[in-house]
Amino acid sequence: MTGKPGEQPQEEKVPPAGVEPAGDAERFGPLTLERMSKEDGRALLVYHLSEGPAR
Amino acid sequence: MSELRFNELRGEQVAYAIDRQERTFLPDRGHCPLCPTHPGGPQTEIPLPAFEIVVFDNRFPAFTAPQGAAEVVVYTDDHDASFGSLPAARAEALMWVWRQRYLELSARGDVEYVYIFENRGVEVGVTLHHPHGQIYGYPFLPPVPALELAADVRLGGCAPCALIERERRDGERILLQNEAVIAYVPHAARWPYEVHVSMAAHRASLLECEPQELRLLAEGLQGVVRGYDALFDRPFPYVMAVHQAPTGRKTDSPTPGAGHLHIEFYPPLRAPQKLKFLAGSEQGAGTFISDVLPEEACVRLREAIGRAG
Repeated sequence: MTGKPGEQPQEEKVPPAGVEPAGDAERFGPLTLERMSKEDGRALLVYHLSEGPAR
Repeated sequence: MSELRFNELRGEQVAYAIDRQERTFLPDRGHCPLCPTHPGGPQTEIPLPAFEIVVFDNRFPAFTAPQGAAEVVVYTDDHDASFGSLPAARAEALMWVWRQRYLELSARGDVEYVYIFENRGVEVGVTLHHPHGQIYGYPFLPPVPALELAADVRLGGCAPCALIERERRDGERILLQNEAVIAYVPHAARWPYEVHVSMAAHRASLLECEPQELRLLAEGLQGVVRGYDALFDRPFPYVMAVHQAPTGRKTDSPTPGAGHLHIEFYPPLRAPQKLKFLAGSEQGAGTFISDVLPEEACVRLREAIGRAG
């Protein structure tokens, strides 16, 4: 909360357990790509058709 | 890491990935590694409660850096779906995923050929039923794409372009067409219900396709797969093989851009309950012997595609 009147708190995007975000989302075509890495270090690419990540 | 050995008699590489012997084999749906991870449930490969399309490095890879890549492409979080049942927008999105993966893997110095494919059905050796495909980044040019490039030389130009022209002239083996794509049973099909889905215009790879062409490619592919499922009124097993330009990363490979994006389907069924096996002639002599004429297969598939709608 920044304390400004009427301002809604920013919802913090917390990744689920077992993944780490690896950077900002990339957009191409109808998709947004979120790069993550799994617990064992393997890359996990999550593609979203909607605007931004689905949580 | 897999080991490559060159088979002198065949003139081709053989990859040994011995860890794959222990890979997950036909788990029950409660332990599907490609399903989302639900609260209280087992951890899967995808630690998300829901997803649309995901790609990850194969846990049991045939190839790994610095000698290639092996990825799994999960089409949907719906365990019971199939490529054919995906909403049109999802199938179109998958084409963009394929394109993005081709772009990224092509840029790697250890990848000579990006091969996108899907194995569907236990009849072709599927070990996980959840709808998915794979991508191999081969560290060499595999024999089948190499043969296609040799066909370009033999025919004095793009072989797929010449074959499309021939099919259009003949007319009797065309299954469906739209503004960007033509699907046909090849004149010399090796599998009973083999289908090729080609970009009608010369497009070396997914990178050369316009956005609407990717949409129309997805539409054509889904039309074929739905027709397959209607043919014998059952989920139709197949290998779906995406062929496009090699990356040209290795010094002894053809120029990047050679190739023509097309997708080949190799379905093993020759009748509702009968499989076409690769037996003596196919394996020992390299000559397919087919029970079904391509023109007959095309008539049946056209009718099935019409029924599937």
